Amino acid sequence: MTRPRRSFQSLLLQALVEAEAGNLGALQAEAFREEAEQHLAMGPRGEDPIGQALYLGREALYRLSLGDREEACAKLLQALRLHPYLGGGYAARLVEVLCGEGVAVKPPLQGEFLLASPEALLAARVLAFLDGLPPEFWGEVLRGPRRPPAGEERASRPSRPKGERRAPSSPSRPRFPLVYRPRYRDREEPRGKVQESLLSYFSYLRNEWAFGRKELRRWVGPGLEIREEDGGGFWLRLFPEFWERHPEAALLVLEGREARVPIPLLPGMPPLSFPRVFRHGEEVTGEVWSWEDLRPRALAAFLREVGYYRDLLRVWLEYGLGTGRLSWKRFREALRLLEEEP
Amino acid sequence: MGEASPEKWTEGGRPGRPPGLLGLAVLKELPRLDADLLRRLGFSRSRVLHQGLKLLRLALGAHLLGADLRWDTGEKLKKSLLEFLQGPGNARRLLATLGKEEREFLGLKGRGSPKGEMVRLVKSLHLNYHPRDLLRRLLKELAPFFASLSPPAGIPWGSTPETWAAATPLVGAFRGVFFLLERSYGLDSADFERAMAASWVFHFLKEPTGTGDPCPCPFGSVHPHLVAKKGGRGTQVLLYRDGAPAGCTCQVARNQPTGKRELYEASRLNDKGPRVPSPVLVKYFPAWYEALDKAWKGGDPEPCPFPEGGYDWDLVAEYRHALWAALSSRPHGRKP
Repeated sequence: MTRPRRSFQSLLLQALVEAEAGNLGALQAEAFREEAEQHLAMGPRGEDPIGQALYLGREALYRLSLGDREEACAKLLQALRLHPYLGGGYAARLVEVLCGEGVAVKPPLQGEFLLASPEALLAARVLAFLDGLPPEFWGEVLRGPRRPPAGEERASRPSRPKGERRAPSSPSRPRFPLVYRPRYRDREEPRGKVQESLLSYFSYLRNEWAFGRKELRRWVGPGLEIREEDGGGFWLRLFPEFWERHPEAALLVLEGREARVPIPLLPGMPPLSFPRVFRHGEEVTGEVWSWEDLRPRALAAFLREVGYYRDLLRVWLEYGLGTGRLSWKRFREALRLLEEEP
Repeated sequence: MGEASPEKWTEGGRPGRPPGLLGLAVLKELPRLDADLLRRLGFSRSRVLHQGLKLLRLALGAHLLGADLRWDTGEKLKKSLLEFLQGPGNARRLLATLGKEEREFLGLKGRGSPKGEMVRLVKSLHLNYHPRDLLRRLLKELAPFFASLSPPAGIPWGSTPETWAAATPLVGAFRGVFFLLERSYGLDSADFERAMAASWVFHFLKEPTGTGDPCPCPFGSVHPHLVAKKGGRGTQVLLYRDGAPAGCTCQVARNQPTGKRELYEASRLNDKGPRVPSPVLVKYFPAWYEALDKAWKGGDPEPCPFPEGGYDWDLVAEYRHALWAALSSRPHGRKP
């Protein structure tokens, strides 16, 4: 089952706009029908009146997309008898316009609810406002302020403002943006034509359409590429150009809006995979750390942070030691840290 | 341009009306913030809440118009809002989403160009709070009002995964759990929705430790990435497995027989990511949870619902519409 991209309420609103403009034919466009079909495919969920009403409302929208106004009207009336507030009120309005019939709104659950006090009503107003805030806000609420960065940065920048995680790069540490260049599999043509006048109010939905399921993420930078494989993780691929630019590179730190992925680098290494932590279109920057940048504290912080490519890390440390970039003492310390980490 | 010009419409509703509550006298004023509401709530002296709510109101409007905002701090939200206002026509469209009372509340007098006025307004707002701290402050201030707030009994709370979500006083936090996991692990949120019992998420948001979760087995495997496991001494764990050769395994969630519930992020790719703290909603909504507990004593809720294919968030929204309608349409102080 594919979940619909647009909310039921948003489809209902579109239907209302078109009905008020006397332009019901626009709802028979392929784009609307596809959405309506996806909604219908959600099936009846709850057996209570509200669940039934939503299903009836979805049936009504589908009927409208087939041009069957009469049936749509009947379904909506049936739905409103069960749940007068369907679609937050849009359904009742649509019935008025569509069927020319006012539907009296009476609370369906009367006598069953607990007593609401005036204080509770005030609180409910704030809660209803909070209901509207997007998941991005709530994600931040749950996560809370970011922890300060590990290791070196924490020690040297105790007074960083709250919530700021990114360390300013040192001038000796090259930092560059990666450009988002997605790949497409079985790319469908863009959805059916949406009427020009409706474009602006569906702009944010269009943004979502652009990030369709079949888009495989890919970022490219000078001499490197991050590529999402179908069904797998992200793969980092380095080209010879990268090593020409950064012959002393020891570490690549990839940073998106949320995630930070430090990756140990070895000349001639095969493509390396890591979890899919960057979102479609996200801004990703890369920062190259040389062996010299890896002061003891920074190295320890990195080893604690990465905890992931265990076998590779061992080889990487041995390479550092073998090429004289890492002292014996620091190598031993690093190995000890590696053993300690769970 | 006429008032009902389609260009002025947004996904959320007609300009000047609160999103989603078009056309119903009882509901339409509900989620609107205005000076009178804040005064009656006793917020008049709190600069933080005033400025924070103003910023959130503007951000909500911009979000519905498709703005890509950063929500991690007040200052970043402000900065991204200012960037949005630089886009052609954006200030005018945002202004159109605000009702008369809201414009008054925000101090918009309609002088000068919409862009100039909106930019000045946003620049004048200062919020050094993280969203979590702002929300906590808000909930703390509202505590006396929540004392008598309880969900209507007419909705079969707990009968489907969607009713568990709608029964959470801050339904956004329920959805936020999955949003956070999606971002953190790079998997579709529906995968997490299918892997975690609705009652587990409900109780995690209520309190980090406590009995009351009727679900004997709160996690389910969703291949190939999510695996539910029974750990030592009856601890249940939801693991994330990446396809990487190194076999990255992270804990997504843990449920201990002691009633301790834990949720983890994966952003640092460790075995156990940073802990996502429970917002401990029971602290702010005691009456709400008490009423639900009482209702469930009469007949147990569905023991362990997992939403097939993920939540139907439209259905969750419908339960909330019914809830707000029930709370706001009652005559104050007496039963009908």
